[in-house]
Amino acid sequence: MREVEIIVKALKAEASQKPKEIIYAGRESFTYKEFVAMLNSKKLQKNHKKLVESFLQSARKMFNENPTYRLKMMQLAGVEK
Amino acid sequence: MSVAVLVAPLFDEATRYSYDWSREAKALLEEKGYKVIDIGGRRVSKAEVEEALKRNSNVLYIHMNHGSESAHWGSENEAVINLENVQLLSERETYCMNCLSAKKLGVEAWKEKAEAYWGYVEVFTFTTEALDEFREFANSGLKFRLEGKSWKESLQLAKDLAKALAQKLVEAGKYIASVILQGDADALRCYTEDMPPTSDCAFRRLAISIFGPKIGWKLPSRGV
Repeated sequence: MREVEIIVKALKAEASQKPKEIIYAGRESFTYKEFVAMLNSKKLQKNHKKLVESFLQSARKMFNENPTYRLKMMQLAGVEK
Repeated sequence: MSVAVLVAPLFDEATRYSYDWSREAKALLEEKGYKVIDIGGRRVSKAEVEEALKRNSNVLYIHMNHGSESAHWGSENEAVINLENVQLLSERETYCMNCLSAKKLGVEAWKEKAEAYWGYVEVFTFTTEALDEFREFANSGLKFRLEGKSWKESLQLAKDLAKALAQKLVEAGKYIASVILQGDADALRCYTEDMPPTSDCAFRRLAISIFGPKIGWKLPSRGV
């Protein structure tokens, strides 16, 4: 599984556990579930696409640089080490 | 007595949070002996911000609300600072907790000889799951500056703090929040005389490398 797939799968699991949490991004807001659904959507508005790209860039950076984050993502995604 | 103009409008769900965070900023300023001209808790007009800045030279200007590449917003439809009145930031220190304004407005402010411009080049994003951590990060640069650190030191300390907060969120199982906080930190910029803006544009970067930032940023370029 590619790292982005691991991240998205893990964050989907997190989002499903936290239905009430809201993300505020400028003038827009999303539930975690709505936001995570955008992460692998092919049909996004330009501003949402930019938001998703920035988020995934930060997530990949943390995945590669932060061993705790990487381990937690793999555990949540159900991926063996 | 030092004076700060604190602009923290309130007009939608997200600005309830930015207004709330601005109360901490106000308390920090007052603790350090600042007289705070507090304009917020409601929709704010361009005229009242312009008047406050024109009447008070050498003030620290703080904006905590929605922003865009070229504007600080006072309400859904009215910018309080934009490219038309950016010269009001000349010879001032500006501290923003808003989206995107370091991308163009901050560069223009720097070109107008602003002493400092603190802001973000991407959308400032936060989650309800970690409000204390996002508030702490959003106000941290102001706190460090008021403690006597230079803007350069404050920027580094704010980025270090974000890393520590993101780690704390990871350990608390708040993974989405940790990524968002780290993303905000990556988008944070501070422009001063010795920390000029950088550019994503290859032509602009070339111009800056050849002519230096002062001239390089003044050369006209498409889409920059």
